[in-house]
Amino acid sequence: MRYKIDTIEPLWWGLFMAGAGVAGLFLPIHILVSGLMIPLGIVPREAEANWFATLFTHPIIKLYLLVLVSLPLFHWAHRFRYFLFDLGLHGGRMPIAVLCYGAAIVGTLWAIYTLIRL
Amino acid sequence: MHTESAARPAGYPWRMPAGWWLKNPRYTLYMLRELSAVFAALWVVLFLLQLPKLAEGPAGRAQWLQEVTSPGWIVFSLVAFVFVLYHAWTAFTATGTLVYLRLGKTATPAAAINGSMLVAWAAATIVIGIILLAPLFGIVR
Repeated sequence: MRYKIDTIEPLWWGLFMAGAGVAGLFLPIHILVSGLMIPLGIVPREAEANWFATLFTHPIIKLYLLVLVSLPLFHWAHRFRYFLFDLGLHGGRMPIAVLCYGAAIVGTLWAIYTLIRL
Repeated sequence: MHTESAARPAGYPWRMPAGWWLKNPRYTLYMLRELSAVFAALWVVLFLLQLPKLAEGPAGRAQWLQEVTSPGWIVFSLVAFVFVLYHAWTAFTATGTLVYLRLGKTATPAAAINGSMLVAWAAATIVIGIILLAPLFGIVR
C-alpha cells in the first residue's frame, strides 16, 4: 500500500512561509508609520499624505505593495486553517481549505485591481 | 510482507481535549501566535482599502487623513502592531531551529541564523522607515 502524496500542500506551505517573512520583516514598520505615527501626529500628517500619494502610485512601489498585501493573506489562510484544527474543528476540512485559500486568492486579485487603478 | 504496517491507520482519531491551549501558558502563547496572522492580514486589507483616496487629489488626501486618524484605526493598529511584533520575534528567533544550513562541512549554528534574521529585520525596518518618513528626514518636501 502506498501513501497518497499531497502535491498541493508544499505550494500553500511555501506561500505561508514567504508570507511569514513579509509579515515579520516589512509589516511592523508599516503599521508603526501608517497606523500609529501619522494618525497620532508624531510626524507631519499633511506632508506624509502628500508623500504617500507620490510614493504609492509609483509602479515599482505598487509591485512591492502587492507583495506586502498578498503574501500575508496566504500566510493567514494556511495558519488560520491549522488554527481551526487546533481548536478542535475537524469536520469540513476541504470546505475550510477552499474558503481560506480562496479568500487569499480573491484578496490578491482585488489587490492587483486596486493597485492598477491607483 | 509489511503492507499492513505501512498503511496509514484509517481515520486516525487525533483528538485534543477542548480548551487544551488554556491549560498551559506556553500553549496559550502558541495559539496567540497563530492568531497573529489574522491581525496581519486584516491590517493589510484595511490599509489597501484606504489607499485609493490618496490618489484622488487634495480632497481625497484630506479624507484619507480623516480615516487614518479615527480612534478605531489607531486602536486596531496598536493591537495589530503588538501581534505582528510577537510574530516577527518568535519567527526570527526560531529560524535557526527550522533551517539547516551547511557551510562547507559544518552546520551553521542556530544562533548565527537567528542573528542574521534579526539583522535583516532591523535593516528592512530602517530602510522602509526612511523611505516612508522621507519628508521627516528632509529627503522630500
